[in-house]
Amino acid sequence: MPGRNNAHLLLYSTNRKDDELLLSILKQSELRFEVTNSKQQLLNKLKDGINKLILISTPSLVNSVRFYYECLLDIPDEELCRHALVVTCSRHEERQAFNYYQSRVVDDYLLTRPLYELHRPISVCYAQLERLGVNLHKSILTTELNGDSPAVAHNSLIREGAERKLKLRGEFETLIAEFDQAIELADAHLSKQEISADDVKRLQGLLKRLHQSSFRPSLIRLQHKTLNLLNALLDKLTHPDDPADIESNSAPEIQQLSAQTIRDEAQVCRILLVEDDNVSAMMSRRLIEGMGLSFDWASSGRRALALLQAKPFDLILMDINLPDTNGLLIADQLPHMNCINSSTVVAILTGIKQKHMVQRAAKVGAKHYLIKPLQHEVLAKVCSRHNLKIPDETP
Amino acid sequence: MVINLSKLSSHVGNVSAADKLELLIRLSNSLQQRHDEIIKAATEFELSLLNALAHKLKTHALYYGAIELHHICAEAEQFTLQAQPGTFELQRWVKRFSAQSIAVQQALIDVIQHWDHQDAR
Repeated sequence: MPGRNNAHLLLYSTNRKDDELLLSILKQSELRFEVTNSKQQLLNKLKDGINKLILISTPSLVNSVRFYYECLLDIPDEELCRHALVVTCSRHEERQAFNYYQSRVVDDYLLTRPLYELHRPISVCYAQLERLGVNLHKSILTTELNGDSPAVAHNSLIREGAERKLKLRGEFETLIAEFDQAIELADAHLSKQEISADDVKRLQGLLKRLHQSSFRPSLIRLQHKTLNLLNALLDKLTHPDDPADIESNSAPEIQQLSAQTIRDEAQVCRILLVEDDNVSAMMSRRLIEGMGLSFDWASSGRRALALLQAKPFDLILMDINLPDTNGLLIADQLPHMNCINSSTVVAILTGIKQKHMVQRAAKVGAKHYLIKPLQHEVLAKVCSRHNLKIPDETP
Repeated sequence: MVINLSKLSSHVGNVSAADKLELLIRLSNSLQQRHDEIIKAATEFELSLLNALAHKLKTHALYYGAIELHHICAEAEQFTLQAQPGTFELQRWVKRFSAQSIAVQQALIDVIQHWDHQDAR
């Protein structure tokens, strides 16, 4: 967390004059912030170990996002400090900004060109900092009303209500954590065709308690997982007789999920492996580089998003269980991200053999479902299906 | 046979004998470390951690053809997802896992020493 004099916020602005109004608004808040147009300073701040908010303001939203993810590429995972990313955008870029937000490319965005809601930048920054453990909200209601009795009573009502809400919030966060765990458990049971009445009962009970709450933002965080689970439940109801497992046991396999796009020209395949396990990544690297193919590795979802924004790939080998997200979510969002890899072939590479998971992979647009560990002939087959050149197999 | 290295090259390609030896050492070290982590997670009844560790080792086991170890890890993945797996079931699994993992570790060490001696000659 920031110390007494550390900045809460770093504003990277390429045109300070354009951001004058934004700056004057931020000055009215409790925020300690620094302004820079130096990439090096931004890199330093991303490595200083202090939780903070990064606000990037350039004339183009796409450029802001690309710039941030280019910076991220220069910083190893272990040096990257905990931070949130907010970008500014113009009114006509709002839809794209919302897409970025939905796919977690950015944590939030501010419509600053023009700045319609004058104090919105402060509330967005406060909310992001609170998630990082920095609370800048005032603890008591300071805007005193005039001394006449109805107004005093009104003020007291608000104050007491706000205090009660704060107390409930702690309980609510516990409830969210419980719900999160229940979804994970039900999802895992479902993937093994072992969903039980207890799972449904547990979820119903928690849902009932959640419905009684009014803290929408926290609920939104659960949205992706809940929708996936609902999808899976619907699948289960519509295909009740599907066998639990794919036939294959230990032998890795390749499953064609949809029609393939054949490229006009053969080219050397550039592969991105999204995999959090060091040993599997090391083995895959040997195999892929040994075949003369280009290899990049992302050990987390966030890292993968950074690479996908910055570098073109021909094939993405995507694990499902990642430390910060689910590989299927990234595959699902990729076509909507309007980036250089939006149409890149995604092959799921996982140790999960359930047919149900294969169906989910197909739904999110994955072209192949490969069972770990990766094998030479399987990868060669995938490359060949997409007309991607393998140097060591060129006649 | 607790391990079978005939498929190693299909996972890493045609690498030199020295590279194979180095890979095997890393896999062996990783197995020893994972073994300790799994036993600790099981002893402390950390089921979600045990699930994640077993899931990863399930894949690693296939690199050196430890099929039985692969199946034992797959079992752990299954029962850690149950609402309340019994302590007895867990203890029984730990015993089987431990025996198999130690046998695989020993087999890997034997191969490493054998290859190392061949290399030295």
